[in-house]
Amino acid sequence: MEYAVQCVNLTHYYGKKLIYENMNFNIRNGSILGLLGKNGTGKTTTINILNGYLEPYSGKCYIFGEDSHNLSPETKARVGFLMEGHIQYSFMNIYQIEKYYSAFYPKWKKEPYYELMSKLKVTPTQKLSKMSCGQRSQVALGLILAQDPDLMVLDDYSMGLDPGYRRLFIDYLQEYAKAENKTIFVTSHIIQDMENLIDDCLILGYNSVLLSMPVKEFMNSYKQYRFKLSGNTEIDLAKDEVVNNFELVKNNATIYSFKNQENVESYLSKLGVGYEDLKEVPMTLEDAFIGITGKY
Amino acid sequence: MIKAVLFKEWLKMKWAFGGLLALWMAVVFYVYIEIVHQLKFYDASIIWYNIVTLGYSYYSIIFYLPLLSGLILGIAQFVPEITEKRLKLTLHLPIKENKILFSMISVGGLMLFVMYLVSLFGLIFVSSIFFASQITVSMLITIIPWYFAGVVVYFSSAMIILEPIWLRKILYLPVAVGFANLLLETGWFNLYEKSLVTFIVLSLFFILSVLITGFRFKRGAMK
Repeated sequence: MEYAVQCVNLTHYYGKKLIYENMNFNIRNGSILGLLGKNGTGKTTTINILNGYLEPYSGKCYIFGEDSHNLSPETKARVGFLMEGHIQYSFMNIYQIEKYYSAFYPKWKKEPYYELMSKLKVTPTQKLSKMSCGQRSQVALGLILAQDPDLMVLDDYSMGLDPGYRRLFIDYLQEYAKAENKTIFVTSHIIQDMENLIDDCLILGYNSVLLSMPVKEFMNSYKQYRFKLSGNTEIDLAKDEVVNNFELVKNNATIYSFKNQENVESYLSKLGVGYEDLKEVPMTLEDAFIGITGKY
Repeated sequence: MIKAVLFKEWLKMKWAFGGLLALWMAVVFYVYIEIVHQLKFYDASIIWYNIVTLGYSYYSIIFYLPLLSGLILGIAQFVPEITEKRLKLTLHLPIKENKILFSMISVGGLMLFVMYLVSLFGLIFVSSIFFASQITVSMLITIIPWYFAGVVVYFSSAMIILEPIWLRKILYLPVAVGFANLLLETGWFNLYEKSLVTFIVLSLFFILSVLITGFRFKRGAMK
């Protein structure tokens, strides 16, 4: 299997603070990987390492087989990069910025860019600095689509976007990725948008990878069980092979687990925990994300 | 590609460049007016005595102007690049990093050169109207180090702005100021007659400093 991205034994620290240790992941050609995690878990750090903007403490990343810290111009031309906050040259207008970038990319296609621009209500001379966050996001996306890269690295594309622009961004991205068999590496705080977009997910916790698997497999195997405690209501179930996460509000308990209901029930009985009305509750990806990472 | 880099740098720097060029032209015109004024009120022999014996420089008004030009161009060009770390966009372009950084500083250097050329032609022209060629040559030997101080300040400001670590920025500052100061020791004419070439060569070494801090920015240096 060919990989667009391979990260091997990545370890990084900021000063003495460990971000993660020996993290490994690959992105298959033509797939969409969502890097998810709470603030401060190292998502942007990973993007920076991958793009060669940060040297990891140890480990390596490879893009199309080349060391990400020493990419050839040819490989760079195959990678589209969206900076967190849709940063672009704000002193340019939409025509100037298209003209500027087109000089660097041999496969440049201005049509998708101008198709997106036609949806924005901006004047020809309006600088990016005078546009709304949503409009700037479309300019940044349009430029990436025009570049026609094989790999798109999108760092928190949803930052500052209202639901309409988020949807527009996702719709274009999805259509483009499927039609052209592109590889996408995306981070976002809006997990609900990821559900129908990504093929695989990598969830970061503080200092470690919590989960790495295809989204469908995750959603099929990860379960949420709710029940009422009937007896001692001051219990705390530690994470183990059955319990992935446990939450308790008064006597309403929730267990997140990769095990089926039967396993969970026998587990509780074995521990002598009194319960009633235990049932599986359907989850969205966002619910599952909170289950894995916890609310706090 | 070079055309595109030139286009982007021009968009960033056009106001700074235009403003400075206008200032240079105004100052050259002022030098002309000042000489005309002096000649109207004083005898030519007194002015000759002042220049040759007392070392009066009729062009001293430009003393800090190259410095100011280098600083403003450096800020206009590189502050937008580090604002929100936009330089990452530039370094992501499919070109070798040193090539793109070198292209950028070449554009800034070219703008400084154009400004210098315009002002030098103006000053030589003005000086030649009133004075013997030896005085004009002496003026050039005196002011060229000031111009190179401007070159040093331009490259140093780029180096300091691109440097990702504040402590290092602070450490680079006295090195840059110290070297620029060597080129601005005094306005006394002909002072650098013997050492001018050495200072010019040393000034050009500052070009490398921009590439070094540019690379430090690229790899996200943390110390």
